[in-house]
Amino acid sequence: MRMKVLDQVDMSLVEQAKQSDKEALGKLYDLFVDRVYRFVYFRVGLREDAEDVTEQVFVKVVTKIKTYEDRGLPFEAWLFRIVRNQLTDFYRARRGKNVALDEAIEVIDPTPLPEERVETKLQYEAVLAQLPNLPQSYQDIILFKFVEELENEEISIIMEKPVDQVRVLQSRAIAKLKTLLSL
Amino acid sequence: MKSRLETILKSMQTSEDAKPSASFVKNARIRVLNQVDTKASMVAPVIGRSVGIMMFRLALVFVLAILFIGGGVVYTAGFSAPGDALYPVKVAFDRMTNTSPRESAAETPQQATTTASIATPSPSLPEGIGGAPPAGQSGVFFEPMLIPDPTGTVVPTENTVRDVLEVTVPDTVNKLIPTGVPKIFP
Repeated sequence: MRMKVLDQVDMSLVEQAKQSDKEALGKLYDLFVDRVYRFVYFRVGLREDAEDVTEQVFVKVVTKIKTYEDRGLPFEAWLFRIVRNQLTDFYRARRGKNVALDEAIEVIDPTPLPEERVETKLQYEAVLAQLPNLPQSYQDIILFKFVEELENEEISIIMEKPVDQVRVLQSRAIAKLKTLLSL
Repeated sequence: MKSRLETILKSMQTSEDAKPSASFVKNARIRVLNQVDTKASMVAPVIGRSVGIMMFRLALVFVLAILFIGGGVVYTAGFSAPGDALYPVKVAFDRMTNTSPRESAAETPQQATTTASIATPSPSLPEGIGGAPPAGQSGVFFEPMLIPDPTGTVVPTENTVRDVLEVTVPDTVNKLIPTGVPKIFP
């Protein structure tokens, strides 16, 4: 199965990184740091937490990359599995200390907005505020599908769930989010 | 409305808030890549420990193999006869188990007395039975069969070896010789 988004990394780069080649590891870091940070940021809601988790993810990549084997598992999928595990650890450590996303995210845009943009921005902020109220698997699936723009097959590999189940989860996640947004 | 929601969700992709700061990207990169050196320095003890575990396993296998082979040799030697290659092993093992210092030390005084009374003929035995051969007699002296009775006194049985050889055998042979033929035994 050919991946649309995943499977884009040059495997020779991964092989070099497996030999603890700092340059190759640095290139992998540069390739993925923005995407990993973005995903984590939308999940944890705070810039500092997002930075901590992102760094922990890449530390884990460096220490565990020797165990990675390309047996139908694209490198990106392996990476996002680490991201999800790290987020699980993060929430386990911070159980009971949840910070509402609407309190955490600072949206600073001093330029005056046209009416339509104001509406969009309000809805955007509403989505960000409601996202943490969804179950974690729903949050993941929404971010993978609409922010990372992965195919259902690719999401199924990362989440280790059948494609059909991913499809069902996706529609449920959207329905739940719409309910929360009163749409 | 779904498409509207999707549009909003997709706009998150380009959100400025969701971009890491340049300083974080740079500093985290340095810290992450430093882990490569840290990891390399941690490899040596891990290898040392794995070698130690391997050596321990080898030693354990070696000791078990020695015990298994040794036990097999001793067991097989138990069935050997004089002249066999393993007979010296059997003899050595028997000697070792029979003359074990622990076994000697474990013998109680009562057991020692009983052993001595069996080994030494009672002075009350009739002359010629047990002890030295009677005066004026030559030849082989046979030890009587001595069996201790329930009270512990050692008495000779009636059917001693001498009785068998000097009385029973001649009588049996004489009975087999037809009448008229001179007897072998007087």
